[in-house]
Amino acid sequence: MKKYIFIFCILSVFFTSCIWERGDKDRRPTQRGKEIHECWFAITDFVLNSSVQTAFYLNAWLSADSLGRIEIEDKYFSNQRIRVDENGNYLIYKGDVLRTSINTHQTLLSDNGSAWEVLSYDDDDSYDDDDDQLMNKYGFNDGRLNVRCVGAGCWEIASDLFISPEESSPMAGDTVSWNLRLTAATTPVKLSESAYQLEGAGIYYLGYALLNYQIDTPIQQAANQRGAIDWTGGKVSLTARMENREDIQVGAEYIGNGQVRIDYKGIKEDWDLE
Amino acid sequence: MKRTITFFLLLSLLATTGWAQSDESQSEPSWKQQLHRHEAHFTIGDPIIAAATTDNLWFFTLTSHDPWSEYHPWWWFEPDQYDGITWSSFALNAGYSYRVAKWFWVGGNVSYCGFYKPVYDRPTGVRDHYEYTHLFSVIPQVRFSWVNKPIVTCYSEIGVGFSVVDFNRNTKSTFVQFAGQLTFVGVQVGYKWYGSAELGVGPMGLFRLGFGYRFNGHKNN
Repeated sequence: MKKYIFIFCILSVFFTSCIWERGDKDRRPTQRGKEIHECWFAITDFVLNSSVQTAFYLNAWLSADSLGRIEIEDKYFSNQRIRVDENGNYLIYKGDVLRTSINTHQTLLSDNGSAWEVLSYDDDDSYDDDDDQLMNKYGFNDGRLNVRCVGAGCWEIASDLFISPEESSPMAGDTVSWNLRLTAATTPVKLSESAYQLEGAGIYYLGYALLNYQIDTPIQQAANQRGAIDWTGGKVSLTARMENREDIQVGAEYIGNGQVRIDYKGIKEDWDLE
Repeated sequence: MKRTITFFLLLSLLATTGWAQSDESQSEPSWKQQLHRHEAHFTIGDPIIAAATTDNLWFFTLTSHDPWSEYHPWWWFEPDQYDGITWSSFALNAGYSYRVAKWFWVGGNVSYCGFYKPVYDRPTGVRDHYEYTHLFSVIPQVRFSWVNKPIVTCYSEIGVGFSVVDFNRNTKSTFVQFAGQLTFVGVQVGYKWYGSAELGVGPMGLFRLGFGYRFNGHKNN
């Protein structure tokens, strides 16, 4: 018996010492589908929680009386300043850096038919590197968004981008566009804590690839106090496209508890929504 | 006075040297009678330098994971695969040395180091193909031994040769590259059969352990 234990130990040491590299950790079958969904989710999250969020904060500020404005400034613009230029644009500065410029056309965002133009600027201090990458590369036309109130408690968020004919893209020379339709019972102030419903379709531009999306079943966000996106229902279909490559199809269903069910190549797996 | 002292010292030195030579030639046997002149040896060494020269050093490789890959659509359209465990044979070295002088040896080593990695299709988990790198080295060496006892030998070595690299990773390729092995310190303990430990740098390993056999030696009577 001792002999076998000895041989086993020797062989174990020999074989384990020959492992040079452990290999990839990402071995789940739907890993790639999850990555494609994460890209779509990150861009959408960024759209909602940067430019659109600033627009709703400003709408709350414009709707409030002087006392309420102070409260909103303390809460949502604590290290920022709101100024108005000669054209009536609201300029939001962080320190001496212009972060956002919003043309409200003298309307409130909660007014039916209002159309705001939101222009966000790069600011290395205010966004982390990931956000900067998204901001600069994907989905935005120089950071310009249009937010329109198309009905009571319903807003359409849209952007388009002309792709240079020289760029290596399946739609080089064309305009790609996307939209999101946000519906809420009351005008939201802080989106990540508010209940709303999200619909929409379009194309996010990813440099030499495109990401088509179609929200098949409206995405449901539950009201919460955590301040984080909490999508509890809804489905989105994604198609990643690149020139001379086969399209990649991914389905994502939000199942609550911070999880998303990814459908990739006929395999369904649940992942944490990050 | 200085001249006298210098003369005395030189005289003492000559006398001592003469006595030593006379003593060695008359009462001590030649190193050829005491020490073996041939040896064959086998060592196993770590594969760090072999890995570095063939792009298998994972913390230095150009193909390491890109933290931005999740948002890098280029990767989405690459084959959906994952790498399994990379196995290494470590550096397996065999050689021969001939003692030309008591402190000087010539010889050579042949060395092999391999890396093998299965690549799996991610959605199905089925193995798609194997990737490998073979590194064969031929390194002639000279050795300078600075402790030369019948049981213990300490030495340093330097060798220059070439390696043949044969790999299959995305593409297949075979090429020849320079190979050099420098051993800072080596120690052998044993008479005919001996064990050895070496510290140096080169494709045969930074640290090597092994054994060898000496022959054609004569024991002092």
